[in-house]
Amino acid sequence: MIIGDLARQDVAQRLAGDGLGIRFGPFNIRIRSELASFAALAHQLYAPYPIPGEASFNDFHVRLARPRGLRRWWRQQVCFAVDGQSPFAPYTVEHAFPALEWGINWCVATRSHHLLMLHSAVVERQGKAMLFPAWPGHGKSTLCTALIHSGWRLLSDEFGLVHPADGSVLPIPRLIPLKNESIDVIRRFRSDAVIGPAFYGTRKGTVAHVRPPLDSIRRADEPARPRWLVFPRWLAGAALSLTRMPKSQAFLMVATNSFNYEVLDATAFSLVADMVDACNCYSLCYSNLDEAIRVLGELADADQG
Amino acid sequence: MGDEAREEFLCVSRAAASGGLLWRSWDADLYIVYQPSSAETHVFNGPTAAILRTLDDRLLTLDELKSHVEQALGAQRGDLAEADFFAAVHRLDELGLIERVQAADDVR
Repeated sequence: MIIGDLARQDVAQRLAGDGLGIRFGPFNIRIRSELASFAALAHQLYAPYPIPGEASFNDFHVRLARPRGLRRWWRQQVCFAVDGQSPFAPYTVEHAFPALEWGINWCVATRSHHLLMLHSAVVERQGKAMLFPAWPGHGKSTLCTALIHSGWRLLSDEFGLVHPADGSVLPIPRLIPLKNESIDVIRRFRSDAVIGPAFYGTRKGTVAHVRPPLDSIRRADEPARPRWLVFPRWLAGAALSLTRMPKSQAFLMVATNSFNYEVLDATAFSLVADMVDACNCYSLCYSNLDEAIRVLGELADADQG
Repeated sequence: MGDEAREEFLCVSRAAASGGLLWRSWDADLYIVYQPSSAETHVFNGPTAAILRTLDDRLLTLDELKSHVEQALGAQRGDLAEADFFAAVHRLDELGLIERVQAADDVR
């Protein structure tokens, strides 16, 4: 059963009651909210995502709630809470949806130490994963969004979830939060991309969420083997360049941008080292999305190993 | 630096904290090393890695060690700059990977 099988009113009732269960890759989330505007958007953008069985374990119980005290009468605000605790300052109520999306990412990043978590977008073709480890602002979400609308499967735009047992990368194909200019870039790149409403003036500027193609959501239980590490950098007006990167440098860049490398100790070292062993490593500088998509496709086509 | 270091480190050996090191190397003269005792990951150049590997379980004087390291690196005796050698020895000592023994005669 998927969210889209429920009527909008059912979604609103579940959110206001015991919670709406939703599965994002390896995580079951139970969401509670009494905001009608949130229920409508959740019904629209989460439609293809599966609903876990009633007896399933919920990894995170999250909630959007009005803050207590005088503040609730002074200004319309909403708090993100997990397990009853609110880790962030309240958001204006109009930003409830991005607040929930960021909050769920925060839960994954801070509470999932059974996996090695890289700060990386990940896409897949023919079972092989291409990882884009990058710091915010380097264009990984925009590039990733363009790739998944060009024949690649989305594993994640944010998390490279590496399973310690075998080093495979687990999918977590969540909505992709595009920011500022990237929103129009993707609208021009693929007019049929499913993009939610723009939220203006958030803590990260203007944000709009892209829903991944259905194939990526339906295949969220299919891991992939790491094959390429590509470190992207978007630079206005830059000529396209894709250059080999020394593996030692790639190791250090992956390890330092991991969410929990230091938590997992030797396990993390071995997982990152094995990933670097298995991958060809590149630095990508681009300004034109079409050119970047083409060169990455050629890279994958040329590698039949 | 050389004379000062010679007084300070008459002999050196691998420290207990250097047990279980995990090594990877993909590029010439660069080694990525994980140290379980400190949960730190280090990047060592060739001479630094060679010092650790040369010492293994042995106790060596600094002159002996430098000579062995030069041999391991395929260099001629005296080719390894003293400043670089002692800087590497100091760094490994700071990391707790080697131990210094002040009075060589006491342990030999």
